[in-house]
Amino acid sequence: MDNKRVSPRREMMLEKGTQLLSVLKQAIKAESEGYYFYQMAGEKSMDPNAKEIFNSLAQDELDHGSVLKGLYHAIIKKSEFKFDRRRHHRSKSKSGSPGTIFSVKFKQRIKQNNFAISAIRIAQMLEKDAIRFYSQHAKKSKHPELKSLFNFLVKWETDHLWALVKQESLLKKEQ
Amino acid sequence: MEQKELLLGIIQDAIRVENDGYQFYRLAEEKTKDAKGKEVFASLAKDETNHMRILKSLYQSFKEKGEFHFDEMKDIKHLLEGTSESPIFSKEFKNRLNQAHFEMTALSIGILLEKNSIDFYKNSAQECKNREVKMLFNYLAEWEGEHLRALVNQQKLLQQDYWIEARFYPF
Repeated sequence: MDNKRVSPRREMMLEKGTQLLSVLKQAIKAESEGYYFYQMAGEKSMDPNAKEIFNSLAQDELDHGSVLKGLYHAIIKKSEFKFDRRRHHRSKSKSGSPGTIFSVKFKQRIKQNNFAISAIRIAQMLEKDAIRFYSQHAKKSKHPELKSLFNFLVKWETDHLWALVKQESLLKKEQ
Repeated sequence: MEQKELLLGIIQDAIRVENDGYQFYRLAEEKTKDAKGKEVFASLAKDETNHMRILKSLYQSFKEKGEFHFDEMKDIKHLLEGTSESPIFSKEFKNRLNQAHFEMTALSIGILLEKNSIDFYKNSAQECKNREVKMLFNYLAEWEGEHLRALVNQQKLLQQDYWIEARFYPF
């Protein structure tokens, strides 16, 4: 029996052969779309709390995109990719805490602000799509660093989703 | 839950789904600099308003009389007529792809919204026992399908070149 283990580096190279770069391109594209959407939602929101939170969500997506871009370049240059979970474990407090997106005043005039409610629902769709995508690739990936990165992104996007779902349900109660 | 209550709940959800589409296409219309894109996004927003109007009348009719008569009133193929090559944006739009970050995002989000609407209407059509409502939901699923095809065709036409032009922007 052949007991030779494939090194993590070799595993990563094998995954490269199985369209890893294409997966990363899709992920970077999705993060870029999240970024532009949250940026627009922030620009269009009249409520200062909502503006701040949408901008913070945009910043999160920007961070995810940068990590993925780093990985993409590491693979192209055939260098080792190390995902430092602690380094990216920041700023989750704002966007990740449910029930804080809109101010009380905003809730009082919610009926006049259809866009913000739709923005929250569209954002949920984007987050669900991202969670589905990262979960699927975390399962498929054999490389521990990649698995760790994709699972980390699943967790982070789930925090976003949870905050948005909670906010929608609070706003529905106000209606 | 009573069939009527269940149905009214589904119709309310459908109105929310249409409103999301309407709000998003209005935003897209506002943001794009491409003249044809503006026109098409405005037309997509108008379609969603029409759907909302039909659904609101369905809601009222069911709430008050417990019945609804569905009349197919529109040729849903209009969107793709003569526009299959570049259904959303002008042909010249391709030359400005390195600045098309918002528009490319709008196509992807539009696709996600339309897929979501189609799933919603197909599932709701299966759930509903009322024949007229089933017909309406299937009709709306088909209409959203036309939107979806236009958005997907446009995305396919631009996606590869956009990636080459924009690379990793904004990261």
